[in-house]
Amino acid sequence: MKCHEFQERVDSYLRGTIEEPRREQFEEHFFQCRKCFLGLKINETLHNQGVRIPLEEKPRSFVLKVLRPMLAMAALFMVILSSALMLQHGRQADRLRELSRFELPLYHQGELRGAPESAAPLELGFNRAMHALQNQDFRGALEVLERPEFTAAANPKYDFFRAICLLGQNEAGKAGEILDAIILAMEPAYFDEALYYKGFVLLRQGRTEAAKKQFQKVAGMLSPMAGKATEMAQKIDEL
Amino acid sequence: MDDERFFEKLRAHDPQAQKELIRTFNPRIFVYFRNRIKGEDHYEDLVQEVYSAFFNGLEQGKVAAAAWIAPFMFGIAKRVLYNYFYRQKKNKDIQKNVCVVCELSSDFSESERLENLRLGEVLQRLIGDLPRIDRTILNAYFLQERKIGEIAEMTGRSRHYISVRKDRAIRKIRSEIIRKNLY
Repeated sequence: MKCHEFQERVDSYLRGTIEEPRREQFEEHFFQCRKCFLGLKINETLHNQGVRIPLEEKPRSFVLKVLRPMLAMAALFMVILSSALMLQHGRQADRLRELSRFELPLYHQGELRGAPESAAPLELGFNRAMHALQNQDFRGALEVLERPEFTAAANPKYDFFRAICLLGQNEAGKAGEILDAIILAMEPAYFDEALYYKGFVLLRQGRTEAAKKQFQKVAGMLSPMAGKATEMAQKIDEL
Repeated sequence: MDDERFFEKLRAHDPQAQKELIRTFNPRIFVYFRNRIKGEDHYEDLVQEVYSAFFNGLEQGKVAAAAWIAPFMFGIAKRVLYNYFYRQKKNKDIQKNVCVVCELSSDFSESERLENLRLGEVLQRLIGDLPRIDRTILNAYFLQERKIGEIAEMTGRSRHYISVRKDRAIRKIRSEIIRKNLY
């Protein structure tokens, strides 16, 4: 006899109404199957009315009666609060990401801001890099600007645009190092712009306050970048 | 304990193994006799006869392996029952015999009564934790001895619902007992 057949016949066995041919199979089964025997035993004990089956609810302790609903409410409140905070944090992060998008610095073909005459042969490659940059192809531009001849030239123009490409590639740390070097050297052609884009480096690094100070610094200068820097400082304030 | 090791110990008259065997089969033998012989309260002699025959059979090598213990025990219980119906009288040598082959001189009826008492307590506790609807069904079915159809009418549910709920409640209790090793 299988277990499910056994279970179907428990009642009839205990009431003595089981069909005779099945009876012996039933008994043979419970001699061998612990689970089924336990089921039979439970039924037998309940049939014999030796067990009180309460209909009323169990008396609950103070903790279960009062504290549990309160704890449940508190937990629910915490869940709602943390969800709201996470949502707000997510929105703020989105706005910060939006803000850290920067306009590309203008580059005029043939511009030779600070470029020595000897570097003229590199200009062809540089122009190609600038085309890629204007098409937002930071990787393509970087591939050109990171060639040994460009790095060896130590030209602030190449360095500055390499920093912009790195910023576009989200490598804020490296970009920041290059811009710091330009700022430190006080390169007149790229000094203001380096200061301004350093603000974006700080934004990408999540250092909002430092970025705001950086933009305010540029805004206070007599510089063509002052207008843009003022706008950026205001946007950060609105965050 | 591993089945074969248990069997070896049993053959070597190990008291622990004998105790374990009796603990396992005692309730089954009682349920068997109780349901076969209605209106009788004392099955002690019959149970002793079963163990006596079992241990004798074990001595004579009639049980080849652990897997044969349950069928062998059931076969003996069956034979003892038929003999009982045939004779309707007690064999006075049985008590002596069981003490020779099994080192335990248990009062099997008393140990069964205690086991039932323990199971009753366990059930009482576990039933208290069931949902109200399950308790209502079990109460009506077992204590008030109502039929499934009557309970269905009383609770406004279908017969199928009541029947399934009752079986599930029993299965839940059984699983708890097995999980916590309560019986």
